[in-house]
Amino acid sequence: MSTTCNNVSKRRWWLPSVGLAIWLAFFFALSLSNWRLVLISADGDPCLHWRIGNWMIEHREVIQADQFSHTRPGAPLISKEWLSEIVFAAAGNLLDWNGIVLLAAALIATTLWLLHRQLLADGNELLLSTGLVMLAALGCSTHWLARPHLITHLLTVVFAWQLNGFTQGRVSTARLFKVLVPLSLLWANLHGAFFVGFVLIVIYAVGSGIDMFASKVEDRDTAHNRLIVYLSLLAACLLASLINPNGWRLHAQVLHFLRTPELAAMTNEFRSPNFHSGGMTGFLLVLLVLAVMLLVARPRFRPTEILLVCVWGYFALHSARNVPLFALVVTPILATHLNQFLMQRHDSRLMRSYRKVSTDISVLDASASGRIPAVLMVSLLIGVVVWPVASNSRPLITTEILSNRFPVATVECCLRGAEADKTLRGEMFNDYGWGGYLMLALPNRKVFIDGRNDFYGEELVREFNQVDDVKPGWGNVVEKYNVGWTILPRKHPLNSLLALRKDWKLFYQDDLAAVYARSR
Amino acid sequence: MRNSAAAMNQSARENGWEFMSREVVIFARASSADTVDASSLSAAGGLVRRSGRIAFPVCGDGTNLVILRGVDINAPHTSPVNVATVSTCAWRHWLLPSLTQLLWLTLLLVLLAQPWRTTMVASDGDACMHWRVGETMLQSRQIIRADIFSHTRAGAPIVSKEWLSELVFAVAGRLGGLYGVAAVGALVIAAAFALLHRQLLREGNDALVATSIVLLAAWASSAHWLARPHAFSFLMIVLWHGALRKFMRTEKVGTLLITLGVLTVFWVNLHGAYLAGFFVLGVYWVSAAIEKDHRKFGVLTVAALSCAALSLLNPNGYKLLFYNVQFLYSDFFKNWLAEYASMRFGSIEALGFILWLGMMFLTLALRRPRLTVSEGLVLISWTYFALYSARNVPLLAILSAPILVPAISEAATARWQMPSQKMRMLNEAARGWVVSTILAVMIVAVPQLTVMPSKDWPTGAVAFIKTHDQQFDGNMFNQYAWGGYLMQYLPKHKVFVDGRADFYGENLLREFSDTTALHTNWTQVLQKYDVRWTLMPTDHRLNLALALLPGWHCAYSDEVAMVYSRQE
Repeated sequence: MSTTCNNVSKRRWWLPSVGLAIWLAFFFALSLSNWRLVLISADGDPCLHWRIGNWMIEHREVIQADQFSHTRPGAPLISKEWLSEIVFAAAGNLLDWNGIVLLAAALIATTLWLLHRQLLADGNELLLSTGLVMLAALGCSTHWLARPHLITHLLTVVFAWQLNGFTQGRVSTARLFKVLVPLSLLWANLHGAFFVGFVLIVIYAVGSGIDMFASKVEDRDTAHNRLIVYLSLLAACLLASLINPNGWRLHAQVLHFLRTPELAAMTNEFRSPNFHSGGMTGFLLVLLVLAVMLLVARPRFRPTEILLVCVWGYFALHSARNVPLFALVVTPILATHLNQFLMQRHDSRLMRSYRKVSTDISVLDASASGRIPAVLMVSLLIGVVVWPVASNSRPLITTEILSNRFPVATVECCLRGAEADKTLRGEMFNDYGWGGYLMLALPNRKVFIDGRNDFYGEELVREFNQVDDVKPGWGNVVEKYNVGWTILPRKHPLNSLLALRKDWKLFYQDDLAAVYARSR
Repeated sequence: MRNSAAAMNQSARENGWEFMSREVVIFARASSADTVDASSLSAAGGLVRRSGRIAFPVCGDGTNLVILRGVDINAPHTSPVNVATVSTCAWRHWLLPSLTQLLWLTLLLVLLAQPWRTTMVASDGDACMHWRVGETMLQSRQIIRADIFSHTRAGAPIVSKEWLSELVFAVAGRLGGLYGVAAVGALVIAAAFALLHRQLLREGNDALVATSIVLLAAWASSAHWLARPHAFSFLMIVLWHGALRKFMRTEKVGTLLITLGVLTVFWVNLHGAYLAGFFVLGVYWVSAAIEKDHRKFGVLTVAALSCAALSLLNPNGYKLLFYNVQFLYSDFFKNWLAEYASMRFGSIEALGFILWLGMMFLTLALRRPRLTVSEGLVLISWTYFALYSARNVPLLAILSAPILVPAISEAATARWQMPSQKMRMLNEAARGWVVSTILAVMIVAVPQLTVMPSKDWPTGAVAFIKTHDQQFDGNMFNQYAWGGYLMQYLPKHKVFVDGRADFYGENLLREFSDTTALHTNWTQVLQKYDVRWTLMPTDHRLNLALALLPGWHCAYSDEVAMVYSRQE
């Protein structure tokens, strides 16, 4: 009795555990710092998803045909992320951009918290685990945007954790199926990258297959059984993923997009990482730690680990948007082997000091709880955001689309008025990156194109590029789609050409954007 | 003279050697084919190299090769010997090219066949640009100090970074036209990889593994197989790194200093990437400091200082160093120039590099070699450089090959070693350098038609301009990539810009970009430089804009290029 009382009294209710501290730190940093503006303004897709989600909320149905473009009006639409669009739209409708930011921040923080928990569950030291989660965060930060792919980051961690746990014998077959099959169903309705889960299962299956051939006789049966489980799991998850509004067409759409480089090449995130950019620093640091580990620790990799690094390394080099997935999948591998390496080093004073500090922090962490203060802090932040909305007063935290990236001033001053309606007749031709924003900001107008490359298809993308690059025949495309006005960055080459033409005149111009209208 | 394996085995056993199963292969050139005495073998114990290979004179008449298998290198005095010999007739050696020579000839054949032959000179306009600059130096018998090729920077001082290679290309151009230029590029590139192969074999690596890795390295580098001065840097870095690695093994100071000194004098006048050599030297210097090897640290310090002093032996002295460093530190150039961009891993040309990265990772993960500090630092730093800029991929491949091949060689199984041993044996016996040279001369000396493809280059427009000279007497505005081609094929006209981005500078290149992108000041740029006519790709937006601009008319048009001219 006295021991139990002592244990309870020793728990520090006011001190958050390291994992909770990670969650809180990222949640508050992303919600309150200028990063919150990056989350919603790095591209136009947060606006796009809000608009589409809103349509579905208003019409109480999953969108099946396009409502937002004049180039493909009514064309059948495969809703790859309808569920997350509804969730994002609900958050936006409730709390405006603050709601979307809070949702995105919670997803990112939860992803990192789960990763931290996975590293600890794998038996790694607390200090090492925390450091590596920070490294993974740096690697993921290049793609921290308030968009459905954040759900893919989170579910990737869950899948990798469960699959690794099963391989290590810590997760039972039943639990594996109970967790991953329903998650596959959800994932297929939340984001188009649900294929990531299948890839992970296949990698683990192939790893088991290699283990079967390479192992001693007594281990071969275990590897064989694991292989059977993985293959069954893959089949079950595939079947579960068919439960979505479009069935197998969703899978066909995703595969078609991945196999059409012309569509992917339009967006930076699908191109190879640009190592000149500071955004790739996190990726380079993860690669550096991997290289140092290979050269200094010289670990013995399991076949599955080698496959994970090779496959996700290739995907990350192929497409910058896979860099966070690489960081999330490789971090547990780095943790396992670095932990083993550090555990074996007894000799140096540095290692002994590190051990002592790590042990002290672990002891402190074991006694930490901090849930009550965490709940209070989060509630306070939500209160600060909700109160102005509920009382119809000025928001205490202003979160708006960045006006130096999107034509906010142009839209507000000139494109909503009667003069605009009178002068800007016909359809618009818009900058690709502004399409999503214009869908939200000008709901009465229809865009030429936006971020939904897979929907628009190669043919339209080619036509768009013909005008956007001002190639011969651009005028035919303009005629074909009855384009009556353009909204483009001020320095866009098409503006210079339109300025020379007598049948076009400048309607509006500011530092960021220019609007040209056809004289009729 | 042929000796039976049984007789050799008997001889070895009588001398106290026992057979073991460890597979370590020793190749030796025999001075007498009859006996293998234990003292020779034990004396060879001191020559054991890291890879486990021993080479030493054993016995024979100079024409036989003795293969000793199963020798435990840790205990040569009691290690086993299972001996077999192969004898070959002396005269056949002279007809047999070595493996390295065969590799060299193969690469030459590939590079001088289509499509590589054309790709080497026609991927961009720089091959023509260097030819033209070199030809001008040949005619004037002096190094170019001020620009005479552009009207935008006419007379501006030039830092001739690559004057020596430009002269070489110009001589080749005089002798063989574009084919001559391509041939020089092919010879240099093939030599670089052949020397890399030779280095790997001399370091005792498995012959088949070395050959496979060199072919993979060549593939990874193939995107930069261009007849341009940077090809000389491939050659130089092989020799440079080879000298450093040899020094780390043998600690022969004189050889290192002389080799690096000579290489510096040539490299600094051949291509600006001599700084890569200095970087690698710096890595070895830092490694010596970390490992507290005072002797090597001292020697490398002397090497660095002497090479730095020798690098001043160029037409521009110390200014060349500042010029190159300034260029490297310029974010504008690194972001503006396509060749400095990071690799596009979705493209087919990236496949070789992807495989190379995969090979690096799998070697380190599966073989777990113990690398030295210098080797680790070279791998890490050059992998970063290669990811940062695709043009560093060949240097990564060349520098990392000798570091990783020993680990792969050790993994070679018995079944692999049999053909590999035979290959090495033949390689050691081969004396066919005369035959190789004759074959190389035959490959290179027969000129093959090499032209700039008219589907990519404005050959028609150039022909038109030449026949209507009077119409085009003012300043031109040209496509950037065509600048070097126009320098060579329209020598009477001065270009707006060409591949010498570092010479033109950020301001002019921004003006050029503003014009081609039709930014708001594009007409002002044309006025500023008094541009009277333009030569751009047919589908370029500038043509569409000029069609609307009063005073301009289309003077020529074909499927590749369009010429607009300003009316007076």
